[in-house]
Amino acid sequence: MRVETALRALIDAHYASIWRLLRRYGVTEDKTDDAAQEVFWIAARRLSDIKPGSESAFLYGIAIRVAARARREREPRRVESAALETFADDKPSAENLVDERRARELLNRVLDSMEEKLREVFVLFELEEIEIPMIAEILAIPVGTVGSRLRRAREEFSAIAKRVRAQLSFPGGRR
Amino acid sequence: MKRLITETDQAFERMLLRSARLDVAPENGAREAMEALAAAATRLPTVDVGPPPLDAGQLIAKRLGTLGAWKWLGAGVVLGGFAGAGAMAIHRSPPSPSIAATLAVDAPRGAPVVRAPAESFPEPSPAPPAAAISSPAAIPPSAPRFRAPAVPATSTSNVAEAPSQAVTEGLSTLKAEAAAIDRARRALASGSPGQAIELLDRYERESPTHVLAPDAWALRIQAEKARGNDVVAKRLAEKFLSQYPSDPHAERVRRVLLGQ
Repeated sequence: MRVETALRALIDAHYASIWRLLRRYGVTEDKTDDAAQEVFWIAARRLSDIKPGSESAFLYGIAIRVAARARREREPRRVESAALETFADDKPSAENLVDERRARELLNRVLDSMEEKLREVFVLFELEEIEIPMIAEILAIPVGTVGSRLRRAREEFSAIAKRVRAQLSFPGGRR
Repeated sequence: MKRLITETDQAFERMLLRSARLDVAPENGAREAMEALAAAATRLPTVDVGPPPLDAGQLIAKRLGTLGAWKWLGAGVVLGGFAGAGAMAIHRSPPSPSIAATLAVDAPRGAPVVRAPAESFPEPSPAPPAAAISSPAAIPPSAPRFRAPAVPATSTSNVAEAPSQAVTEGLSTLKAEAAAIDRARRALASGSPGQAIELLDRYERESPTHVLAPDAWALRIQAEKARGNDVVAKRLAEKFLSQYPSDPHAERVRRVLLGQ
């Protein structure tokens, strides 16, 4: 099999999930294509390091690092309340709540507000539906650490979600 | 452990989590990624500049510019010393029980590189005509958008001539970075190591991602060597090998260290 063929197979099999993961790790939509290309470029350089059956874990590990760098390069992380005010102000709250696309936007902002290490675990487990042992492999941390971070991540997610919901219900309430 | 979406009693949380399913990669994203990688692989340095005289260097650049980029990229294949009329030694990384192990190089030696499916970048050559580089036709209409490093504007040699903005617009970052390094490679291949170093300086200053930093570094080592700065080249080579011991360029860098 040629390198090109192997790489094409890797891209075909994993591009969609890597793209999605980058988005969920805070890469902005306009930069996600580039970031995904970067992930596969790095993987292409290291094809010989990829163990059979571990392609996903390998790519996810790269994607997490690429996304972290992309986040650092972008504008400073928005303060949760400011981001939510913008969201809440431009549409009536009831409409916000039923608009799935806007819910996704809101989800991204909630994820943006989470501590980075907690977000990593949360995204992999709750959104990518990856099992804990594999998350441990991807992040190169013990399984127990994944479990504890996940518990903290859930608490943080729920706390932010509650604040968001309260703010959507009373858009002007915090000002 | 169950997922939060099935455990939580908060409808709002479920709605947020459910909305994640709307994150869908663009339909043509995988194809564009493959094109970008193909274009970048085709453009990355394969020239070996060392002791040979300039004419030989130009010949090498011309002949190697399109060789085996995919092999170099994926399987750790590097092009060995170029002796005589195009004879090549191909070194491969040790086989590993990985995907690379299945990547038997089935192309004959010296086979042309696999081309980017929808790209028609000009052949790297010591002195490509500017028009060939800047042809708008080289850019596929569906190419991803561009955030390229600034193009060198002070070049006095046509070998490192920057493509026009129109060329770089529409390229992805990866393609643009590969093009920047390709300009330095061509400068080196044409016997202008100083200019190559200037272009590499510029790449390092202005690249948005530095995803091709190892390529730029390896090329810089060769440029310093070609300029006669053996001590600098050696120091850079040692650092390179300590940082990227298994990089596809490592073998070539080792040869610089050995003075080959």
